[in-house]
Amino acid sequence: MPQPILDPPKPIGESTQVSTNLVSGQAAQISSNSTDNNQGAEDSSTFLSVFGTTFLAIFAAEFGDKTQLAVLLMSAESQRPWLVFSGAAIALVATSLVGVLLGRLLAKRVSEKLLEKLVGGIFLVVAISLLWDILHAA
Amino acid sequence: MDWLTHWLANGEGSWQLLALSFATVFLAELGDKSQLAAIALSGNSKSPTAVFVGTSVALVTASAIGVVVGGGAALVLPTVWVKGAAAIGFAVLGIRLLWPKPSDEAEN
Repeated sequence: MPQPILDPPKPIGESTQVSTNLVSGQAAQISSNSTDNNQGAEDSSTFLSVFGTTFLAIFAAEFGDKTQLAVLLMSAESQRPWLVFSGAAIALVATSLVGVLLGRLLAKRVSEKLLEKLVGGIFLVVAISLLWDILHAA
Repeated sequence: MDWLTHWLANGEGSWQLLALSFATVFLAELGDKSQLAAIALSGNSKSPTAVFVGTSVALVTASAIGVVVGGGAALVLPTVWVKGAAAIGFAVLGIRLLWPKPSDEAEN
């Protein structure tokens, strides 16, 4: 922390400058402290926002999809809908886990720049595949 | 899916039914767009656990709606519009990542 008190006397304009710096320095200090204190809260809000975006994106992409139709068909045929649903639910959690683990593996192996391009490319493939579904359903 | 309906109609045991529905859905989803989306979202995210939980809950909810509402699911939510919105969302995400940044141009 600078000590403006020991500095030689300055014209009024400059001393104002110093005091502004001091104030902004303190502000920065305070804000960094508060970030440390709120680390837990920030983590949970990140979690919630990532969870929410992911949920909406995947739900919208999957709604009315062949998996939903297959589960519907199988549960209707079997007369034991909740058993079929349980099998399907376990499978969906398993494929999500495989997907997320592959994503993490990719993120570790590949440079940040290449990862951005790959992820961007995958998003476009997903978008095209959704458009394909729409055109074939219509 | 004739073999499947035959298999199911002949009332094999509960474990077989569970395994069959697991295998059918697992194989159908492997490499499908929702798994691709999960790969991309988690590769790009600071919180892969949130991506995993979000993906799982979304997929399970979508199939639960399929079981409960049955053929009426498309009436609850018009599939084409929902999918169209998802397609636009993913396209925007992809284009934003692939669009050249000012920092890239400075390096080249």
